[in-house]
Amino acid sequence: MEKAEKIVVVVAILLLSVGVASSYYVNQIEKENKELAEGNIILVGDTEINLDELFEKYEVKNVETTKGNFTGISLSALINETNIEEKDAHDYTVVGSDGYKQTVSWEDMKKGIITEEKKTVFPHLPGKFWVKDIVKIEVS
Amino acid sequence: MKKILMATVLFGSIWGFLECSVGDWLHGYDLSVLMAVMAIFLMAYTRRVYNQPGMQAGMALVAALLRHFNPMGACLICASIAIFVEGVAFEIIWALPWRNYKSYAMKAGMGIISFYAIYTVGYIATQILTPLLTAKFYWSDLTGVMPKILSHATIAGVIGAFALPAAYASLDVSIKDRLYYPVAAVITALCWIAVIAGI
Repeated sequence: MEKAEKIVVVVAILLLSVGVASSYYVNQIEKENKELAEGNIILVGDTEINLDELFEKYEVKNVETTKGNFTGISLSALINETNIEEKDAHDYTVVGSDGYKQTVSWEDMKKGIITEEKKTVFPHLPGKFWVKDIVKIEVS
Repeated sequence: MKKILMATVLFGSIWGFLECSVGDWLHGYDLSVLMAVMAIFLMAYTRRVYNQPGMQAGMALVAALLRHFNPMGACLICASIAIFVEGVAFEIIWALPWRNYKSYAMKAGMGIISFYAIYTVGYIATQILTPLLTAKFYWSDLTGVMPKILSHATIAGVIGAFALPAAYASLDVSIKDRLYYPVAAVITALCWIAVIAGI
């Protein structure tokens, strides 16, 4: 095997090792978030919000998107359940059970919804901002 | 050159059509990596057959345009950005002199590296460019999603270890010039009609 071939094989093994380590990390994150994910609970800042109770309390909203129509509760209603003050002064990082996270503004939160499947839908933002299996919303 | 231009449009259209149909379906199951694998295989195969640098970036541009015109489906701008960046990343990797080596170890190794890197670069590009174009970019969002990207890239890399040697071993399909252009034009038109009609 020539030197160039050896380098390629080593780099390939290195990349796969990083990938396997990342898979293990994602798996650990999912295990950590399992309780929240199964309990239908979302942690917003320090407040635990029960999604079932939220859907009983608020009117369901319908939003049209390029991916179809979705129904859910307004994300601003979810935030209103907490004691966060000056809501428009904060950014909101929506975190999924696999660690995927996206940060949006208060204006975005007002337009977005959370569905019964614990997925955020922002009709005005590209799909990359949508997060599945939400477990928490970090407020900064 | 005329034949290569036609092939660029044809394979770019097929790629775009697959992105809008199979790609959307796979995205629903969080398996977009398989669509990326198909696209990279298509680029590798066409590079071997036509051996024309720049052709695959052109194919990516056609596919990205087609994806952008799709009236249905997920995240048009993210997908278009990812497709085009994948094409550019492919061109950069294929500009390296690794193809001078004919061994299986080199092809399998480069299969892992290229499939892994092209998928990763495409995904990262959407994570950076999409918010820059539509909202606001946060580094913390990118660092948060990196483990997931690298985890999925591993699947691409493992498949690449077999797919790249396969692309370089595939049988050639020859077609007479008299038929080549009409067939290519019809397939291209069908791809565009299907996508624009939202089929």
